[in-house]
Amino acid sequence: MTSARPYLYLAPTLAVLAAFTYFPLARLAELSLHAPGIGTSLGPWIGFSAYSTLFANPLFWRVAGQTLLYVFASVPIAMAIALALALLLDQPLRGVGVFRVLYYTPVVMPTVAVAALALWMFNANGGIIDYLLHAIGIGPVPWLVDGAWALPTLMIVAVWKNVGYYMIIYLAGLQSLPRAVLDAARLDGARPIARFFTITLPLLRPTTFFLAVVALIGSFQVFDFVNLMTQGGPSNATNVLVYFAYQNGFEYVQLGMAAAISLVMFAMVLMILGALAWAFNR
Amino acid sequence: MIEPALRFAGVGKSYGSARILEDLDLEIAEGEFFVLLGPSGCGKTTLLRMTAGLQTIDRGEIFLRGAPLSPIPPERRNIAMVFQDYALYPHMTVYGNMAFGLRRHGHDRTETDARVRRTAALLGIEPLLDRRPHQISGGQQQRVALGRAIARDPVLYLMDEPLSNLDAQVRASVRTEIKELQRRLGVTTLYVTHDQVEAMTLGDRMAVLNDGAIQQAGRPIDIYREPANEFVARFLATPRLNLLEGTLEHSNGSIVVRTPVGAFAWTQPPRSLPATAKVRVGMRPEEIKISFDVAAAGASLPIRLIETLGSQVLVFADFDGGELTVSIPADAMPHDAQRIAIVPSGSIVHVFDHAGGAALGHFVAGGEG
Repeated sequence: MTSARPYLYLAPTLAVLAAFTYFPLARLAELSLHAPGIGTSLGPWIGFSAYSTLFANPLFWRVAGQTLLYVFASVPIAMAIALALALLLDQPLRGVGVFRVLYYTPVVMPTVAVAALALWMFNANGGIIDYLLHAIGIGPVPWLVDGAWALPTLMIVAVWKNVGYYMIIYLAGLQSLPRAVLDAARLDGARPIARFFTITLPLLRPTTFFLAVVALIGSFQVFDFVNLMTQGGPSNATNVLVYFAYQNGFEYVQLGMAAAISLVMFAMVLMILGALAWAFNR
Repeated sequence: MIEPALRFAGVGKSYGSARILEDLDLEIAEGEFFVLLGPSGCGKTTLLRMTAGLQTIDRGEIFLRGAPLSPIPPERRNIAMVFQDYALYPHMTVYGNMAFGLRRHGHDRTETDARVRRTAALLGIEPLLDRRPHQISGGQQQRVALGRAIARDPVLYLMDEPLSNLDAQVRASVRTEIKELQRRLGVTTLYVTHDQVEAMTLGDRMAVLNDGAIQQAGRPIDIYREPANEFVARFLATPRLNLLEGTLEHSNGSIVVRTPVGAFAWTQPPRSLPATAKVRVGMRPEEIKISFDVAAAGASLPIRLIETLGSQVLVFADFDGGELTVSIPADAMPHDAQRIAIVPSGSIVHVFDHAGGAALGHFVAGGEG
């Protein structure tokens, strides 16, 4: 019975996963096919009507588009900045440790504090960002009050908060690169820029893949900055999928609809991660 | 005077107050295979990396074909280096690894392709060109690393213990291969190792380094025969150098070196020797003549242990105040030997200054003294 053994060892993990991941997921799917009320009952079976209502709602498509824009703009930008910072902080410079700490600080700050700080800094009535921009002849920018600017403003805040975490991961990746390989590239005549693109970046591929996965999942679930800073406004310009699900579930008490939105989002994330894995393993 | 291919002029390196390399001078001729031999931490790799440009030169200057190297970044030195752990580009094929430097040095696709294929043929790695480094063996990886250096056709090869990660069998064959290749290509080579066998077999000339200073430089056989000091003698002895306390006794023009294991006649000592002195006497295991005919000899030593290496046998014998290691051919070893007698005549003796360790002389002992 040797073939049963591996499953025996896997059983505890599978049990935990089943109880806390797969079962809730199945329950969510079940919920999306019913019209539950406020109580604990499932409510009447409504088939896929929640989904058809959802897909017929232009706001859903707008929110989905905004979520994708948020993810695919903020994640690459944050990762690029993080990599640039990591390259700088990988140098044997005096006081480099202080900078590492400084760049990491936003990561450990509570989101609520960051949001409050950002609201103050991006304030339309004399916020410090506008004040500084004014000094170099730019602005004022209608950061959070204009529909076109609100989502980019949230991205800036999120990038600022996340960049330190990505940077630390990249720094760890850089420091584990084989130095001799980079030395060999130098002697082979590769200058710094060429060395970065032909050696460093390709060798960082596993780090980049890991970060991309973590960052994509994290960004897809953006909720707190939206909830704390804009509540999806102005006029849904910063509404994203998780916030949309939250609105449906807890403001409009449409739990079935909220479940449907969550599942659609789950499917989107899975597809994007699949594409990412395919691209990286090619 | 012909300018040497590589010249170290007062080259030194310090980390803070620690002097890693004393200011050293060295000249390496065009086409020469030069080996830097020394224990780990002696500064030999630092010297190599300074030549490559991967470390800065604190004092002095290194000249490559007469041109000072320190203003030139490693990217433009036209030096190729073979690393201890190969340092192949893991994300490129063998072909890509060899082509990389050529492309960076401005060779076009056709020229690069021709050079890569020619080098691959030279090294017998053509079937591997499409493989990645992790798909081939250590010996093959080292061959690719050599190929990467050779394909570039640089003016100087630097090799940093290129064989130390290979297992013994492969090591010997790659060693021979490196020697043959270097002969054939005639490119000046600076080779760093801590292995005396590699140094002896590969080097046209070599330098023994210790504590950041050159102990001795010259042809391997000369250094082996006449080590400049105790350190060099010890480093070039397998398994270890026998070091004995000794005294010099002068008697009408010749000298007798007395040691706890016997007296050795020095028939033609140099004139400059100190009148009478305590000395230290070094004898390599293979340089000691012994006999098992203990009855005929005056004195003998009890055998403590015998190690059979195959063709050679190591005999460990005790004497008053220490242990003597002697290496003899296996077929000269009787089964039932209990004691050995030292035969002075024909034994090779190295005499060192008792205080500083500098060599006072080397000789083949004459008849009974």
